[in-house]
Amino acid sequence: MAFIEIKNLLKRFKKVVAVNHIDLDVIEGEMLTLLGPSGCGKTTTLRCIAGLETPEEGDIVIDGKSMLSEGFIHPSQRGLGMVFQNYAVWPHMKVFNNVAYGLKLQKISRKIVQERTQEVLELVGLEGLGERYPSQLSGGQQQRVALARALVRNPKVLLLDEPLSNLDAKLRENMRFEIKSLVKRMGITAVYVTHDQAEAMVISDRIAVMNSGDIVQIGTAREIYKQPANKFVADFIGTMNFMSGEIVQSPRDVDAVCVRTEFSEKVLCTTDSVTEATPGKKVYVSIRPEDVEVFTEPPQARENLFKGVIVHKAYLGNFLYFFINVNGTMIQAQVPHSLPQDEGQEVHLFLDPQKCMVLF
Amino acid sequence: MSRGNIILAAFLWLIVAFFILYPLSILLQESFTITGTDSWGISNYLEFFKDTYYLRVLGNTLLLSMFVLLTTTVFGVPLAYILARYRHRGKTIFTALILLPIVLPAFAGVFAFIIFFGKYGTLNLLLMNTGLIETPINFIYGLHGLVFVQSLHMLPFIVLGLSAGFTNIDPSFEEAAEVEGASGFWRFITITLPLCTPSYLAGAVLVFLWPFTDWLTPMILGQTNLLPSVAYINIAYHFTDMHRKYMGIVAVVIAAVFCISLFLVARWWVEKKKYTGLSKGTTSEGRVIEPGPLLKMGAYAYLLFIAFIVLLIPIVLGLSAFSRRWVFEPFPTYWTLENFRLILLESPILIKNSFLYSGLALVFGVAFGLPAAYIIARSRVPGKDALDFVITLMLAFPGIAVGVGYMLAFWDKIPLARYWIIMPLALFARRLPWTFLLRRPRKYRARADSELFLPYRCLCCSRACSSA
Amino acid sequence: MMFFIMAFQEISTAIFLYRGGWETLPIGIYLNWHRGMEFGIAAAMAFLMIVITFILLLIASKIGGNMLKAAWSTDE
Repeated sequence: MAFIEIKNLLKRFKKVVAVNHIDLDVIEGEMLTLLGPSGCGKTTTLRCIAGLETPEEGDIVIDGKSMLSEGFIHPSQRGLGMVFQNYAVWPHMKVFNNVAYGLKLQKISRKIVQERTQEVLELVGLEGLGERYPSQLSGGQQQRVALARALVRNPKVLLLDEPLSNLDAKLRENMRFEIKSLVKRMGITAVYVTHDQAEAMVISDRIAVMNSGDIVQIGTAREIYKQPANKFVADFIGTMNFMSGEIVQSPRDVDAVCVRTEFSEKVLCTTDSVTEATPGKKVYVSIRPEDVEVFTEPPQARENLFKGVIVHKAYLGNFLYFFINVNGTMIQAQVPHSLPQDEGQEVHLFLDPQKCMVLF
Repeated sequence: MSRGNIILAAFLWLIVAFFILYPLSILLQESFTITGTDSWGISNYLEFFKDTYYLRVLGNTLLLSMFVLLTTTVFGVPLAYILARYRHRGKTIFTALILLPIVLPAFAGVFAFIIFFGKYGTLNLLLMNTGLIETPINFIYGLHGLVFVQSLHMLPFIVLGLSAGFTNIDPSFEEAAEVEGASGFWRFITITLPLCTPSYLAGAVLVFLWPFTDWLTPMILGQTNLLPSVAYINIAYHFTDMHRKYMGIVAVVIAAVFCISLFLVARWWVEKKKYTGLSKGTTSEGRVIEPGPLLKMGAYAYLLFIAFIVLLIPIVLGLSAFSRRWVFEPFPTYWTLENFRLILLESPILIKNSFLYSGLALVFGVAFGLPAAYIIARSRVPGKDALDFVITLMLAFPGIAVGVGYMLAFWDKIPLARYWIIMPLALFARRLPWTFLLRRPRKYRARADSELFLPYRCLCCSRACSSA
Repeated sequence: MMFFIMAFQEISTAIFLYRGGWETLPIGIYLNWHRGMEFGIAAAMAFLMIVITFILLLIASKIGGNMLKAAWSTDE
């Protein structure tokens, strides 16, 4: 049962379509990330959920209650907390008042407000800082204030709009895990917006990849990495070698095709979408750098064996990274240290057909 | 740091010293002089603060300042909000109209309002003709009229500062409050307005200081028991009575000291509290909302009302300028060019002088402002910050203090005031920070203290707008 | 431009320093009011000043092209 249902959502700004008729379900207790490049509509989708934007078409249902079709529900009545990209911590209020602001607006006793606020401040690790002004806090601490403020009213849904983008790299990595464990501990359903694929993979249960107003693929981090739906997703998540080509032969086996590329007459690939793989179709043969196998001597394999010259070699700590020229096509490979070859030397490449994907 | 820069800086300092510091020090010195002797003492000041009359004058001025600030704030906050946030037609033209008073000389407003709101002015006569009232209502003469005229003159400063504030606030500050459940008005009071205090204050301090500077409007409206007017009357009318003259000078110095201290306090506070630095803007135009139809009508009516009052100034003056013996009638009946003929025939010298002095002052201003901006922004000459500081202080300095200072300083010892060149020189000195500010490179203006200059910068915009 | 207009309207400073033959328009306005409540002439002078101000602004914006740009370009 989906906790948040987005149905056929359409949002335009003037003539520009920001969110193009998308459907999306968020399961209760799940942390879902909207991932995509800037301008893909991810923030607009989030703001529609929050009620900060009014979509032209479609409906949003939170916990069984429609936010739009039975009259517009005000953001504050949707039972959600939100963390903004720039934290939006009010600089003229002390930390305590920032967090307690929403509680004070409800008709509850001062004592409960006091207790609840202290509780949340402790939860995010800000105990004892309630009397400070935001300008006296570090960026990470301000971030926690924003988080505490979003959590103080016990929201059913937590919305996070690129909450870590203003922090420095080291802090950002720590905060990812911290936010995830906090949200999981509280059992809140969360929608997280980011353009950082590593962040998305760490923090989310599921990722919805967006591009120019559409949701391109939804799945776990592993699914999206291992089985990208198209070239855009494969390119956006991790690194991928793309070799453009054309399908030359109908599949012999059930799930394999041959592709003619610029560097070779025949590259054998597996594919799930056999039906689309008709001869003559333009496709991209795609393989992750870590799946490219590099040998000094020709290996035993019969197919997908190529010779290439190392153009660049980089030492990246736990492995080496090669840029290999195969008949004019540059292929990136991630290889173990044991490989002695240097720039300018010849190597043999094996592109395992099981790991070669055909993407459109 | 090159030799040339040092020489240039020294030269600029020389100009500042001679045309600003020297006359002001003479002014200060004179204020300590005991009547009839050559000795110095604080007796003048003691007398000022012992005399209930002067204390009352000081109190009146403070009271007037508060009233003016209150009025401009009450009218300015909704005005700024409408201009900054509502999506409506004719935004530019309304902005231009509402900012118009700064382009107009302060005294133009008084004359126009006397004609319109005066005892036998248009409004009273119209009301009496329709039988609504029997005897004319005193709209303008008195403290309330003074508050009205000065408020209208200073309204743009508040509106400019605030609307810049409203536009520059990061929208997410308000959105966060919206999500937390704050209603529109509460959100405005607890979030929007407090975040705008620095930009508000920048304008407010100038508004508050205006009654300490403006002596002419009170005099025209018959309110002479205010600090600058008292100072003017004492100095200008009682030149034979040396004692009263010194008391006048004391009043000038007190007004000037008050202005400068308040200005500095405000500047310090604004710099301490610059909230805007904390936000990272996401949209350039800020939050613009589409008001409901009722609200929109109200906003329009309000804009039209203010615009009408502002437009009264040139319209009434224009009518009056082209008419003759416009008394006891709501609108002029006898049209003539006589007034202009008189001006052009009998005193074309006034116009010539005006252009000559202002033009020369402008030449001085550019000649000083360009190198000064260069030294302060680009070089590392020691003491450049002090130069910046002194020049900036002139912003808050009452014109009357400059005038009196010049009169005292350049009469006996350095007889510059015997030649007409003193006029453009005085105008130049008076408006020194303006040349300097306007010639600052953009990069430099983006500094923190620019908050306080914001209204000034906007001024330039508004001026261009108003010619549209 | 701004500076010129401000100087043009200045009275506080000038009023202490002017002598016969050095009067400017603002002083003329003041004197006309002060001497005999000659409102017509004072008003005409004030109106004249407003008109001159506007013409100056118009010229400034013509030279600078765009109105707003004209205002800003006085900055540089």
